[in-house]
Amino acid sequence: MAVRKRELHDVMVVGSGASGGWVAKEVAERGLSVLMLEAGPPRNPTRDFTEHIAPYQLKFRGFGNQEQLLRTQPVQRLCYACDEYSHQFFVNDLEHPYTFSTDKPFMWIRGRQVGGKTFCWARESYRYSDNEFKAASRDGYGEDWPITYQEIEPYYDRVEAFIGVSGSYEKLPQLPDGKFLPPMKLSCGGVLAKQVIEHKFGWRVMPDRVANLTVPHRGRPACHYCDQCQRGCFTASYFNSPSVTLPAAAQTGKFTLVSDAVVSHLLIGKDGQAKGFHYIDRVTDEHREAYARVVVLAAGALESTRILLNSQSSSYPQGVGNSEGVLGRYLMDHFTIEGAGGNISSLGSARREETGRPCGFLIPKYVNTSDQQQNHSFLRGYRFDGDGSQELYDHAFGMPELGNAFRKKVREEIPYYFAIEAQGECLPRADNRVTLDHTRKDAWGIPVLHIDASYGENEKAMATAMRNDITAILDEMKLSHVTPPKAELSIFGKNIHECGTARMGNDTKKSVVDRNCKVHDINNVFVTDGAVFATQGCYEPTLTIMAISARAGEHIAQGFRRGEL
Amino acid sequence: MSKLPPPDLADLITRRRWLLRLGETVALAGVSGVIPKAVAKPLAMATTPNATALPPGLYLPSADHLAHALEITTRPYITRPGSETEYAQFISGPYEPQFFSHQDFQIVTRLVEIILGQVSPAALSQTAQWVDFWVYSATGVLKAAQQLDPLHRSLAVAYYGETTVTDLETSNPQLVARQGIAVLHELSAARYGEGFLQITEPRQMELIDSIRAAKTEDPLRQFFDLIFKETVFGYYTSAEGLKELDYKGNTYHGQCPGCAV
Repeated sequence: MAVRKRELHDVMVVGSGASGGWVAKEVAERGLSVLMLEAGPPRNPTRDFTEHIAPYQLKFRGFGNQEQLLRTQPVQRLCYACDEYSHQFFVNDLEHPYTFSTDKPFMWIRGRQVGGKTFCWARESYRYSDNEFKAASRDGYGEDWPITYQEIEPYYDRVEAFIGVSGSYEKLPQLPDGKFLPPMKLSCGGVLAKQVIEHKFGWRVMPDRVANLTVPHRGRPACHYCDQCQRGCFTASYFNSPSVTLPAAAQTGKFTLVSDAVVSHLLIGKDGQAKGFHYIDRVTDEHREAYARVVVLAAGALESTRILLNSQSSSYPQGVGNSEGVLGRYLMDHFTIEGAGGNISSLGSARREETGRPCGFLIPKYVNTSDQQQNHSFLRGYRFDGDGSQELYDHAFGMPELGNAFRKKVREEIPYYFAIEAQGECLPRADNRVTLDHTRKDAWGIPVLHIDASYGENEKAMATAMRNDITAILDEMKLSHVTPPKAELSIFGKNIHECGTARMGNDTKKSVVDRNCKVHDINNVFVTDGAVFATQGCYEPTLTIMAISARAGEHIAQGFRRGEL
Repeated sequence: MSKLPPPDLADLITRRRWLLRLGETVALAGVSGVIPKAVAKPLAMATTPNATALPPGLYLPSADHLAHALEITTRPYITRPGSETEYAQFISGPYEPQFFSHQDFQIVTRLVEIILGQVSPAALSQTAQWVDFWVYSATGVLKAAQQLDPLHRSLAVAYYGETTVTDLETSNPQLVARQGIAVLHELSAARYGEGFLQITEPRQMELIDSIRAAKTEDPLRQFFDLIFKETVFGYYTSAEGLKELDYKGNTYHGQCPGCAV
């Protein structure tokens, strides 16, 4: 083991994505020195971004090198964004194994690089309300978050104002409005859906709230609507940490970034407090240590928990934060009912429309939000997202013509496709959990995770209601060539919203971290990513991850100022 | 693999044209072109001295990046050292088929022509090259699918369903192509006494019609379906095909595209 340097930083953050970027920014701007360890390499836009590359400029025309994907990314390739343009932003599965039982499949989609998954995220940004934070009090299942919407609201404000979120003001109590940039337009399919669905069902249809700039914002140009976000963005017109939060941290002069640093475990001192982290250089395999007064895990829910579980010592024989056996439990990921759609005949056209909006429409959760909208066959609820667009050339495959007549028809008879899916809340269950699998190691010799998670009866009952609603919408939209919603729930992990496993709570026997993201069992270890979620509602978690990270960063800085850390 | 399209076609869906279209433009040092003030001003502001001091991996929107993006439409694309992206390569001279023999590649090219009708010689050639390259690559895909780790196979089954995964493990496009070409030769000779390329166009079309009417498990039908599918993919991902579709995405828009209603 080579210990290179014994420099002591104020704060060390593991992970450079949505969460780590906010913690680093908040503490560095308050004068603390920050060392950030990132497991992956730095990305170079001019080398690694493929924005505005045309399919004919790629060897496999955008369809991907399937042999290579099957051999090196057999899990990641299942993610919609891991294609020929963007596979470099996803891990090599041979280097990053994990295990699961074949009857409980789990997709662990990972992006290890400076910026983490923020290059490829779908940018959907919704606030949680007390429908989520106090869900247990509303329906009696599980545990509340130890914080209220009122407490987190200023941090939502801060995050939205800094990163830029476009959205419409809807005045819905279950989906709070925020500090929005102007919303994007709906497609014609979205406009029709709004007219039909709001009139027939009374459910709100609104543009997605996304972290794309619709106007110039804090030195970043507005989105130019190429709709290639997951390929990297030269103009930094959507939020990713390397172009938004991390530069803000770096410009304080208090920020040090070490990339290619694969953290293995916490270093624990004789006093039972954390001293820093043990890590392995991803490229040279050298083992190193780094030291700080306070350490923050922001490596993504499952990786943060893996590091805690792997931090076994005489003081913490089951890993740090696991004195009550709660660490690793209550894993959640949204499930979706997909595949539904059809053609809107009235929008079929011979004229090609401009395309490139990086979002569609949302129907916010309505079920179980008020006394008038109760469904007693399940707890919690779901929301829909969808959009309409012209087919590019998929309609060519079904055409009987050949030759010039074939191409003319492809060009001039353009179908308009409408698609809709539902995303539902996954209840936090103790038996949905991760543990260390000591029989397998990753490329750096670290024990891998065994993931044991499945959807239960509540999710299955909710899925039935989701399918029924989708079918009713498809009927009312008067579509042709209808494809019904799939019977199956999506695979656990597929929606890349994995949350829980180190959940937040006031009761130290039922949770891992407190209301400020500090691990109950130890005074100077914080977890700030999705691992701390007590529930996750049916909305994307990243905005809330950023808000609680900003809040935790502020709390850490205040702790230093008060001499408590 | 394929010859890249001529610049006039490639340029049609580039930002350069969009930028010029806007009219409200300003020259920006380091950019070989013009960009609108709305973009140039925040870009210029972002390019501060501090930006150059950022650690590797961090970036700000900058003229350098935009210039690079503008360069992408020039030929050939210069792959940055360390890039994990496989870009299409220039070839000089005649195309050397990778799977089909020269004679069989002529048949493939003729089938592509029958499917597409009158397209430019370059587009016809590039589409036929794509078909050849795709069939050539298929064996590696098949082997990789058959060698999937059981855990990863179970995940693929959960994601796609058993039928799709079994198809991936058993489909052999090279076998379909070999058998298809052979049967086409035999059928043409039996019906007309000559090879497919030697018979008249009406007879070729007569043969194609009978092949398309055959059952889906017929070897010739499978061969034609394969050629048809890859012709559609190959042509409509080419510069000429995208231009023909009047595709208006993957470009710079001054305003959010949306419903005008």
